[in-house]
Parts: sequence; C-alpha cells; structure tokens
Amino acid sequence: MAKALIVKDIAPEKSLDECARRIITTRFHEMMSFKEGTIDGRDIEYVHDMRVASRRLRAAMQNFADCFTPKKKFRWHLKRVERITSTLGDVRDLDVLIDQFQKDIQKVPADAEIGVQNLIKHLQTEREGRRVPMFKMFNNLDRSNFEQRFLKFFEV
Amino acid sequence: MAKTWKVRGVYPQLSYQWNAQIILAVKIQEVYSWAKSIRNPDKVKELHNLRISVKRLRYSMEFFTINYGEEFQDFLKVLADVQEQLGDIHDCDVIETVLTDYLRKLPNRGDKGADAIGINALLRRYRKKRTAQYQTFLQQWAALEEDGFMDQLLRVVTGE
Repeated sequence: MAKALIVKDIAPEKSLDECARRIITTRFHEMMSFKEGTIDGRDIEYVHDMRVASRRLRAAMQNFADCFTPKKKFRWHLKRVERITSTLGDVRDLDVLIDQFQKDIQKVPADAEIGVQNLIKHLQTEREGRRVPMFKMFNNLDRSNFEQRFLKFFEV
Repeated sequence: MAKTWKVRGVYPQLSYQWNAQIILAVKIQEVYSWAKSIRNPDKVKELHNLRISVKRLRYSMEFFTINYGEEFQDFLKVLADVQEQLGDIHDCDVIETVLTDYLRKLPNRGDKGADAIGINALLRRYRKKRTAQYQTFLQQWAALEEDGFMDQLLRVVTGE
C-alpha cells in the first residue's frame, strides 16, 4: 500500500479551515495519481492504492465538513468521492479473492485443485464485469469536470 | 457499514490544534462504542463496524500528527495492528460468504463433484484460520484494555 503524501504548509497554530483545505487537496491529488494505473488494470495495486487514498480523502472531508459552504456543493463532492470508494471496492474485493485463492492452490489437497481453479476462472470473469461500471464512473466524472470543480471548491 | 459519528463543536477559524482534540475524542468514542460486541465471534457485522471505526480513527490521527509528540506514533502503530487483525478476520468472513454462495449455485451438487471438493477444502482452511485470527485479536484487545489504552489515548489527544 502506498504511503500517504506529506501535506505541506500546515501547522498547529494555523486555522482549521486553511489546514483542512490543504489536507483535502493533497489527498485528492494523491487519489487521482492512481487513476491511470487503475484504468489500465494490469497491476492490481493501483485499484487498491486509489481506493485507500479515496478513503483517506473521505475521512478528511467528513472530519472537516464544517469548514465548507455551501453545504449542497460540499455534499455533491463528497457523494462522488464515496462513489469512487465503493466502485473501486467492488473490483478490489475480487482482486483480493483471486490473489488469495491463487496462493491457496499450492496448499490444498491435489483433488481440490480443479475446484479452486474453476472458482478462480469464475471470479476472473466476474472481475471483468465489475470493471465496466468503473469505466463508466470515470467517464461520468470526466464529463462533469469533477477534477476541476473539486479543486476550485477546496483550494486555499 | 455503520455511519461515521457526527462531530459537533468544530470551529473552522480556531486553530488546527484546538480542533484536533474535539474531532479525535469523538473518533475514539466511536471505536469503543463497538467494544461490547467483540467477545462474541459470531458478531460479524459488529466486528466489521469496529474495523471501520478503527480505520476512521487512524486516518483522522494521521491528519493531526503534526499537533502531537512522538508518543502519538506509538498509538498509531497499535491501531494499525488492531486494524490489520480485524481486517484478517473480515477477509475470512467475506471468503466464507463467497464460497458458500458459490457452492450453493454449483450445478454439480454434493461432495463428489470436483468443484465441491475444492470449495470445501477452502472452507475448512478459512474457518480454521478465522478461529485462530479471532483468538489473536481477542488477546491483543484484552492486553490493551488492561493497559488502559483508550484512556491513555484520550489523555494524549485532549492534553489533559
């Protein structure tokens, strides 16, 4: 799992409002940095890292919600981040299962191997199916200029 | 998944340090609201909610690290351990559901089918693993309770 990026220019004596904005925009950039690899899909760690980054971002947004108005706009952004977490979670859950069962094949009795292999094939097909809503979500986010709108709303 | 607790009394124009104690105190209480359920290994939902609350506390503490001394990092490490143990238990619970669903839908039912043999072997493996992981978690949780981990963390966070 990728380490969280260091947030620059925050300090205990600065206002929560300023620090919250710096934290949220840093977490946002961190999350988006994994987007390309997530879409590519060959390395499963990108989905994982993007999902973890989206969780950190969501936690920051929820903790610092009182800093932002109008509330309606804030909720619009929060909802999109929540959707990113849950859509990536659908793919990630299967990545974890496939990876785990591939390791298990070597540890189960010989007569159990075929059954586990068939299960992995089934999960791999399901994974491809779950990547479709993910692509759709990224297209929708691009179409709605999510990235630019998000940064405009939260930047210091 | 349980909703995150609403934090009241946050003042955006006051300092980052002042607000840290308000937010973190609520996150700690959220974690311990699940503590009463942990002695029952079948409380799958509650254990999952505890894991999520620990994660929320951990991420929140990471935001506020700058406001605290070195000992804060030790608390973070303990929470990362607890989260990992709860994560291992949760993984086994998810696998149990996935495997039983898959087994139920198999066209070749019964213990003789090659698929069923494979799935049942995995089920046995993960049930055993889950029991061991749950015991490890309980031991660590009991040790933390004995050390008064929650009170210590609250004291550090609120500076009292």
